[in-house]
Amino acid sequence: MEKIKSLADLKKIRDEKQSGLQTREKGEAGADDLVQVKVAMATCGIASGAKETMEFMIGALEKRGVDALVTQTGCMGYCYAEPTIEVTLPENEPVVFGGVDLDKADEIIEKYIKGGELVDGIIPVNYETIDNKE
Amino acid sequence: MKEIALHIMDVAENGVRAGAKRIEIAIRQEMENELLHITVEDDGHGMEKSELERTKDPFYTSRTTRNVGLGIPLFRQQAEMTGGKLEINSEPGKGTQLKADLHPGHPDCQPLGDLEGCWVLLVTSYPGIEWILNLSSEAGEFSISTTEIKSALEVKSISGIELSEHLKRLIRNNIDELGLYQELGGIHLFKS
Repeated sequence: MEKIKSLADLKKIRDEKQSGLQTREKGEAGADDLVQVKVAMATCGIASGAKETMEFMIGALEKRGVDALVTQTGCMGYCYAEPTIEVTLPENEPVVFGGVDLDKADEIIEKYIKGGELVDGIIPVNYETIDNKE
Repeated sequence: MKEIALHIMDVAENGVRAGAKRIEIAIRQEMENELLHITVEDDGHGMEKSELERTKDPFYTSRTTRNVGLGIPLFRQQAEMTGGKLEINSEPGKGTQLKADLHPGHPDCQPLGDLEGCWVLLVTSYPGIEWILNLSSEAGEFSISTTEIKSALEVKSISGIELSEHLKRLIRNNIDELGLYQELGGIHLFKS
């Protein structure tokens, strides 16, 4: 593989394998159909390895064919449980997971995102109690 | 934080929160003075002098979810540990400029780390912002920006793992060519 050193090199590679590079615009299909993953990326998150988690999520979701939008967010306040991610499946409430290292991220993708099965390590944010329910 | 690149990513995000439309990260290496000069500059809402003073305090943050703001103090600590310093200038309405000087020859200096990974992650996470990366050393200069990438590749957004991987490789190859400091204590700088 030639060394990519400039944007011209990059363009050449892209032109050579046009079908390979994904340039589909995310969000075109309608954000409601996408799985939304937010990775907390504040100082505590970064120091605990959230960058690796985020890179893993982006790569794994794309490779496994899951339509997802992975974004960063600031501190959600769960510094003791970093790395944390918030996963919102289409038509579901967001769920926050703590301690998301690469193995846990893999488990979340396979079990929760693909299977809808809840996984250990959830941080309760928005549970409704009987008092609050109308 | 184990790498300088992570500190850079951390403070760059402050710019995002300040509503910046343009964030520039510049790293300049001067072997003669054994200096790594890092600048993170944004055009966000900036800070009043009083708030600027308070950024030095690890217990100050503009966030409401917690009571500590460690990003800047940790970066400053890293710079000072190597015998360097960290300065911030800011003007309300104009933006903020953070400048850090580190001495890579110092044994306490962390490695530069995965700078390309951090930059690409910022670029893909915050597509509404123009990101610019400038690297320079005695061996030359390299710069890249999201505007250039989008126009060269004729895309409206930068996304997808394949493109990210190519971009990272592009940046990494240039970092290597420029001979930017990589290892702990800058040991390699003194190999002759």
